[in-house]
Amino acid sequence: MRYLNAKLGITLTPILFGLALLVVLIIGWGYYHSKGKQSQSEDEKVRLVLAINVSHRERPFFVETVDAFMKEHPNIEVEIRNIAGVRYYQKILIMMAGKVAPDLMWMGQSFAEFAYKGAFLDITDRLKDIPTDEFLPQALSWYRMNGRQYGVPYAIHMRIFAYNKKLFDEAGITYPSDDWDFDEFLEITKKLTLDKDGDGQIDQYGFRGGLHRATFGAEIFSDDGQLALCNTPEMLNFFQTRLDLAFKYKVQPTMELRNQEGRNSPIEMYAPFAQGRYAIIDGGNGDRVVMLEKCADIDWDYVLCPKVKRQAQWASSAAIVISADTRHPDESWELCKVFIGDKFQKSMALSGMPTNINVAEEVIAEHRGTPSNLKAVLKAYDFLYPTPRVPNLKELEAIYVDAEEKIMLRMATPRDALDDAQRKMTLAIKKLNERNR
Amino acid sequence: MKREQDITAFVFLSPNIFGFLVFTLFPVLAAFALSLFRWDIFHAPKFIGLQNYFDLLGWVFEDKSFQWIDPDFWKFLGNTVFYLFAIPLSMAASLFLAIILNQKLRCRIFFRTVFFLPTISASVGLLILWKYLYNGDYGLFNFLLSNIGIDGPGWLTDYHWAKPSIMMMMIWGGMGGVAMVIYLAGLQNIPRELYEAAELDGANGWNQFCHITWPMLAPTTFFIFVTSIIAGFQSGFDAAYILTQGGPAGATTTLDYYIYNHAFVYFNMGYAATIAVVLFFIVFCVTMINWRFGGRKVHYG
Repeated sequence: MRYLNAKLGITLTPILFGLALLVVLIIGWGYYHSKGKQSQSEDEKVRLVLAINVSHRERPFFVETVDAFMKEHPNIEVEIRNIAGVRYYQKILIMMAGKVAPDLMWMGQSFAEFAYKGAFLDITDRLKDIPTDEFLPQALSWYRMNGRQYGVPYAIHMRIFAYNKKLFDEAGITYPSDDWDFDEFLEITKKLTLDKDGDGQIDQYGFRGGLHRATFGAEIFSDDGQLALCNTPEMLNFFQTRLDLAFKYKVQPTMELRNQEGRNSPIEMYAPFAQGRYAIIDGGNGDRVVMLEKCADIDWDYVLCPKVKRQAQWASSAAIVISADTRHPDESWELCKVFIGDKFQKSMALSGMPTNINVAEEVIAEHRGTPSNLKAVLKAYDFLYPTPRVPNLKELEAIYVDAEEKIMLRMATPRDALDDAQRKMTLAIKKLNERNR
Repeated sequence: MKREQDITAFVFLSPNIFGFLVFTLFPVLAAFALSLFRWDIFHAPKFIGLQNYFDLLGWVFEDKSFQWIDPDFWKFLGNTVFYLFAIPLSMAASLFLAIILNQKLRCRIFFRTVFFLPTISASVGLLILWKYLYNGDYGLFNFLLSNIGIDGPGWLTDYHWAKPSIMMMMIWGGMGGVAMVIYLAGLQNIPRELYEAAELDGANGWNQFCHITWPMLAPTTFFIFVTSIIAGFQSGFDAAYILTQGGPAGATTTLDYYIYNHAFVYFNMGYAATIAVVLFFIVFCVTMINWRFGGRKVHYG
């Protein structure tokens, strides 16, 4: 200091004063900036932020719809933020926690996790603006909680089997029908599992994917999320059957092999399916546009999952919901209505079946080409089953997935792994209840 | 004059002290406090005393046996400890590289840069590269193995291979990095006269290494070991997040990743803080043990 003082004439007081001034300026600038932004948006236009989680194939439909909306509503400006990927929900939760939630957001099966936190605007009283009687009642109920409606889905994504017709023809097997059962499924997959070059390695599997546990009457937990159901006889039967398919009948690759070939997302199955590696796969109607692109060279079709104890199709959905913290609920609802509307639902039909039954029927009637059995999707509307809406879905699903991996990698017997999962899940539910008390 | 000097020193230190208080000390204290609460970010934190600690470290008597309430914690602690075995191997490799680079080689600077590259490269890019190398179908390792008639494993997808595969990657990542540079500095501080005297006495290279290099590097080795152990307990997150998502069946989940999952996937902030606090005490105890037993055997010149 003495050196600075002697050489440059600088004393301590101006340095301290300078530091203090700098801090004040930084804080002041930040405050002014945030206030300035707010007042600007209040004076001129209403700005809405819409967060979506869609692929590059679906994004243009959102952009187009939003552009048309902005033309009709010159006082509203909409910014689309596409947060595509597996961490979408996590990022939205963090945005909400940071009080910077988007005004509107895409929502799927994690709806309950948010709704329990009071994250969404109650739209029950606004439903009179739309023809709710035209919508699949079950799909509407997926976005209802404690009798209040928080969203209306625009599309249904369901898991549905797809099969390669050429491989059936080569084996001289009749195509499966939507009312087939497990025995038929097993016989067909046995015939379609082939070691073509005789080297002892299977070149063509009859099936890849997963049977739906609901067809066995099994579920991970009860609808209200209060009871773990991991080690029920139905669940044990479900896993034993899956093990048998992979290790006893060898009609589907083991989980280890599946992991080696790529993770288990359906999209990663389509290329090998098109190459004839699998005769039947557990695909999804939400990926129809992807399948049409990746399996363009083969003739394929949809068939419902085989009935075991009962017929069931796992389904999820997509909706646009409004944040409870939005400063523009009326404008947000105006935009939301566009996404629920016929035009948008129809435009998105390649990535999910419309929830408006009239629109869905229209889509089926106008459909030509592959898959010729698209009506199976509509047929499945009668026995859709979604993952129950519970607030700690991620945690409970992680417990189930851990048990599933242990069983399918044969690190534990189904009984041991499922008992363990049951214990963990019961504890997780208990903890959640304590948290909510 | 003394007072003015103190103030001057404080002024110059204040940016760092401020940063330490706000970004290090406060979060650490907050984590300690948070571990006594149940908090999901959206609702007000609820004080629950030591309940999180009981849930994490406690056990119950069920089916005629004691069972951990959270067996995953112990499993993932085991995974974390497993990865620590990479440390001596990566230290040995670092020392080996440092000794080579300490020789009067051509292009010495070039090789130093090359060996240091993994440290300054973006870890995500490197991990994605490793993911391709390890791929069971088209990865380089299995391609090379198939050329000699070996059917390679699913490096990252097989329960038994996933952990060693990530460990191999850690050894590779650690061997050319900071440890190598510190060893190099340590080697350059060893007086040449010691080697000259040893040569006159007829000591060969191995004897020189055992009786001069290794003992003289003891403080360096001890420093690297202690800091690596501390870092090692907090490792494995990048690999789990990018390569395996902690699987298969939790084989590659470390405590770091477990904390992340509870905090930012399940939003159990209090529980995540509890794991972090327990991890802190584990690291603290291990470091104390290192100092108590390892520190004694180190000779500082």
